[in-house]
Amino acid sequence: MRRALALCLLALSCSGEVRDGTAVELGASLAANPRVTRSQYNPFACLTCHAVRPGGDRALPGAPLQGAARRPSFWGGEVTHLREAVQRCWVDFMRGDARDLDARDGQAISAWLESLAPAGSTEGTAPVPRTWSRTIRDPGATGDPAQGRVAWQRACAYCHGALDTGAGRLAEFVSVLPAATLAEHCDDDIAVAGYTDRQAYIRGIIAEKTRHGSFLGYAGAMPPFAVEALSDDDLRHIASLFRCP
Amino acid sequence: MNPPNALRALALTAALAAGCADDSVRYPTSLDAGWQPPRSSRWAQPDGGAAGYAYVSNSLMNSVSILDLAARRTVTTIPVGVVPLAENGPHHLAVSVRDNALYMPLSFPPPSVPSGPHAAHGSSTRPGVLIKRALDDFRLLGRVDIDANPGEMLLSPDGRRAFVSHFDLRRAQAHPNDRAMQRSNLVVINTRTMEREFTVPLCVAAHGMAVAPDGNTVYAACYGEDALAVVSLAGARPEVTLVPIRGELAPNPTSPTYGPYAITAAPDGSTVWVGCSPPNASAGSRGLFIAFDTATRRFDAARTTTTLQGTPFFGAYSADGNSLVVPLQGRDAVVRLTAAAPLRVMEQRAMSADDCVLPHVISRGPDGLFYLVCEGRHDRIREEPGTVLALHPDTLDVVARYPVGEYPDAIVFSEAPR
Repeated sequence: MRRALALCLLALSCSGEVRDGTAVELGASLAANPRVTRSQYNPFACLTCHAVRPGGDRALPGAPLQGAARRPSFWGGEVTHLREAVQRCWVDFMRGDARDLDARDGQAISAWLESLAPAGSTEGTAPVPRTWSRTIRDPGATGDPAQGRVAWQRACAYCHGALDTGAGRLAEFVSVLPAATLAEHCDDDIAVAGYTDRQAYIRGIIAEKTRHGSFLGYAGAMPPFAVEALSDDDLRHIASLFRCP
Repeated sequence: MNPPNALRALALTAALAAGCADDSVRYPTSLDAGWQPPRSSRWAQPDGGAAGYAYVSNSLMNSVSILDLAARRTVTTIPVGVVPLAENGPHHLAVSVRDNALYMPLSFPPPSVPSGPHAAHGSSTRPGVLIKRALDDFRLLGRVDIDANPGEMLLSPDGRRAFVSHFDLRRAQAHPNDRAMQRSNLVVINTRTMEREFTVPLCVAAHGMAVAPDGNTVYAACYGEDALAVVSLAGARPEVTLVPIRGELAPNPTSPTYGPYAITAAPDGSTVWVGCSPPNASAGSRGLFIAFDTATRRFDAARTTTTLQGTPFFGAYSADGNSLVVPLQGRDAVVRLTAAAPLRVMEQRAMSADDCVLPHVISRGPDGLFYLVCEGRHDRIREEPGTVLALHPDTLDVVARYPVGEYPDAIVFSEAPR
């Protein structure tokens, strides 16, 4: 992968279109720009879900990007190539065309990621643990709404905006919660899913959407939060904010 | 997945879709405790190329294990899935060293329990994907959608085409009165462009396949029709002929009498052996094992048996072509049979649970040894990693043992057998 990235940089340099240093700068700006994938339905930039370095107040589904270019694996060990890991985000969340990753903008993002993993530094180069349980259970009725609101601010508000109003959400088409979920699911035939308690069912829906994102039978473009990114306790508190009338 | 297990899984899925979710039914991996996919170091092919390696698909781990045959050790395990979080279901695989490529169909099996309340509303039949990865570092080179429930996949002798059968039992059940709709497709992929070249309606629940040495004929076991499909690729369009194993095609494709499933082909292309897995088989049942003469295009009554001690799966010929070795399930064993008529059991070696659980496929390696893929236990009670055993070609004694991942399904080599 390092060879491939180096080749990308070389190609950029030799083309005369973008010089080496400019590629990194361009990549840095593109990483913060949702329009990079050219999809009108994409509200995400790389930095929506990833921090450059560990730390910070937000609970982010993506791993920090520093050192990523030299990590041996990604997505909790599901992927061993950076290009493939990036493609998952690019296509599954950002609604992009994978072929664009081989064009100028994609190469610039590669160059920027490479710049975050300079030779000689081992910072951020270890695999980042990510665990997604495939089977979802009701997180339980013991969540605390007050703590749920705090967790909401850390994990959900950046995309979904303010609780109840959606004020400040990432895009108009991002769901306003909890109203959208309750409107969609409070009338479900819960027996189909093996539930007898409607509130438990709704908590299960929230847990499923949070842990699986747009995968494993749920549509949309939301990234999945692994347990390392959002604890079971925080999830339980967030789920307490969703109650059917 | 063998046919009885597949039918059980299908029945279970249907029951769940009807609202009979049972919390005691466990997803067929260790995911309830949190999935731990293989965390391997990045595979870098040593100088000297891919000589002397074997590649084993781990169908419950989204991965491929790489065996160093000279060093007699498992080198590493590499993830190969392309769909995040999901059971990707890599079953069969093929490699082309010349093209530096590994090909795998991903089957995306339906989960045996819903992954959450929302997914319980109904899971669609997901199309499979044929992926192409570089043999030297496993980077993704290409992918193409195929049909749901891909079965076996083979390359043409020149490597330019990939053939994928589809063991689509759900399709057979969904169209009970329409034989044409019950039939799955043979998908022919151009391996250079990774695009479909042909989509050929084949037969109900096709699985094991063989390709003639000239690449112009493909044979497929038709589980639901009690037949062998012979596909001619010599003309402008593929032509399919179904040859019933006995008498006529199965009247009820969802409950065939014989259930032809596995194929073992003679290296010279003269014979295609069909191993049957009757759907109503129980432990110790005996499946039909029968030879098909490719010259006469008829089954050979002098080379048939129903007296094997287990269900015959995917076998391999000896180096001299005089015998073949076949794994049996039910009573787990390996049997050596004469290749010529009259068919005779030369030797049978029972496999203890310590040696090999559920022997699935035998392939002759470049070093002349037979390599036996043992699935390992993967039922609702427990799941254990599988094993690959290297067997002495003359004695069938175990000469090496390779640990692999959960539910290994197929093995291929970087060099041709000798």
